[in-house]
Amino acid sequence: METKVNAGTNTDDGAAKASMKTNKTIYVGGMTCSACEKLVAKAVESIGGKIHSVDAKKGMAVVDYPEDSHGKLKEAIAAAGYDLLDSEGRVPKADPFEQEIRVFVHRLLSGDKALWAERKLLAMSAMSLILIAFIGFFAYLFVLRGLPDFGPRFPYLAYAMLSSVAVVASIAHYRAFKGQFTCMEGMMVGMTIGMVAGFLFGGIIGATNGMFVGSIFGMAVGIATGAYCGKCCGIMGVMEGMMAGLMSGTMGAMLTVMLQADNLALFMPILTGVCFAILAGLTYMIHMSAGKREDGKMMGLMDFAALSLVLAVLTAMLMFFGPRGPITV
Amino acid sequence: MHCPSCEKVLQMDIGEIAGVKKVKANFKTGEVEIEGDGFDLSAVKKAITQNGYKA
Repeated sequence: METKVNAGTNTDDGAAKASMKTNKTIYVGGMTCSACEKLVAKAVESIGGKIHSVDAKKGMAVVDYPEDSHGKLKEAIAAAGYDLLDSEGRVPKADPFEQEIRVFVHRLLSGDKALWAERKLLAMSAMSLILIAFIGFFAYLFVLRGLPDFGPRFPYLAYAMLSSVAVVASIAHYRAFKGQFTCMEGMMVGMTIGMVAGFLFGGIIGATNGMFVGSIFGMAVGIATGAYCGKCCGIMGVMEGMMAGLMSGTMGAMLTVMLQADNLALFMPILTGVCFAILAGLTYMIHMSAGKREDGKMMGLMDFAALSLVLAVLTAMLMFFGPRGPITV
Repeated sequence: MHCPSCEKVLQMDIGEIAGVKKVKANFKTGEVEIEGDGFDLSAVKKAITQNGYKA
C-alpha cells in the first residue's frame, strides 16, 4: 500500500532549494500502517523536507530534504517514534565505546547540566580528600611519627584515605538516585560497590594486620556497603551486595597476605587503580541509567566529608593500634 | 484504529478542528474522547473517515 502524500504546502523555502537532496530514498524502521506513513510524512515536512511517497510495508520513503539536515531528519523521525536506517536499510551502528567515553568526559568538563551530580561528586571528593590529608598530617605530627612501624605502613594509610573517599563517592551517587533504578541496575550497583569496598579495605587491612583481621574488616565494610547499596531493589539486591562483600572482603585480605612473599608493594597501586576504574565505570552506568535526572538528592558536603573521614580514621586506627596476625608489613 | 500511530494521527487531525480543546483517542477500545464546545461534529466525522477509519 503506497500512499501518495500531497505536500504542496511548503512553498516558502525557495531559497533552500539549491541545496536540497532530491528524490532520495530513505529507509524507515517501525512503520506498520497508513497512520505511520502519515506521521513519517509529517516528520519529514517538519524539517522543511518534501515527501514524494512513503510505504510502510517496504519501510521506505522517497523524500527531498535540505542537504545539511540529515541529523535533523533523523531526530524528527525518532521523535515521531520511528527509526531512520542507513542507506541499505540496516540499523545504524552505535558510536564506538571509546567515543562515547570521550563525549562523556568532554561534557563533564564543559559544564553540561545533565552531569550536575558527577561534578558535585568530584568537587566533594576533592574537598574531603584535602580535609582527610590535613587531619592525617596532624595525626602524623602528634602521634604517628612516634610509632616504630609508621614508615612501611604509610602507603597503606594513603590507600585507605583514597579508598574511603572513592567508596563514599559511589555511595553518595547511589543515594542520590536510589529510587530510580531498575532491579537489574540496582543489583549491579549494590554488587559493584560492595565488592570494590570489600576488596580495598580487606586488602589494605590484610596487608597491615594479617589475614584474620583483614578478612573480618573487609567483610564488614563490604557487606555493609553492598547491603546498603543493594537495598534499592529489595532483598535480592541486599543479598547480592552481602555476597559481594563477603567474597571480596575475604579475598582481598587473603590476596595481600599471600603477596607478602611476592611483590605486594607494586600490587597495591594496581589493585587500587583497577578498583577506582571500576567505580568510575559504575558512575558512568549510574549516569546513563537514572543519573541524568535533575531531582536526585545528593548528600551535602558535611555528610560526605564526615562519612569518608569516619571510614578513613577507623581504618587507620585499626592499622596502627589494632590486633595483628603473624604475617604483616 | 489498531495502533498508537492511528491514535496520534486522529488526535492531530481532530485537534485542528475549531472549538476542540482536547482529544484522546484509544486504539484498544476504539474510542475517541473529545472535549470542547461548539465544534462541528460532521467535521470530526470527516476527519475520521478521511484517514481511513469509521466513525
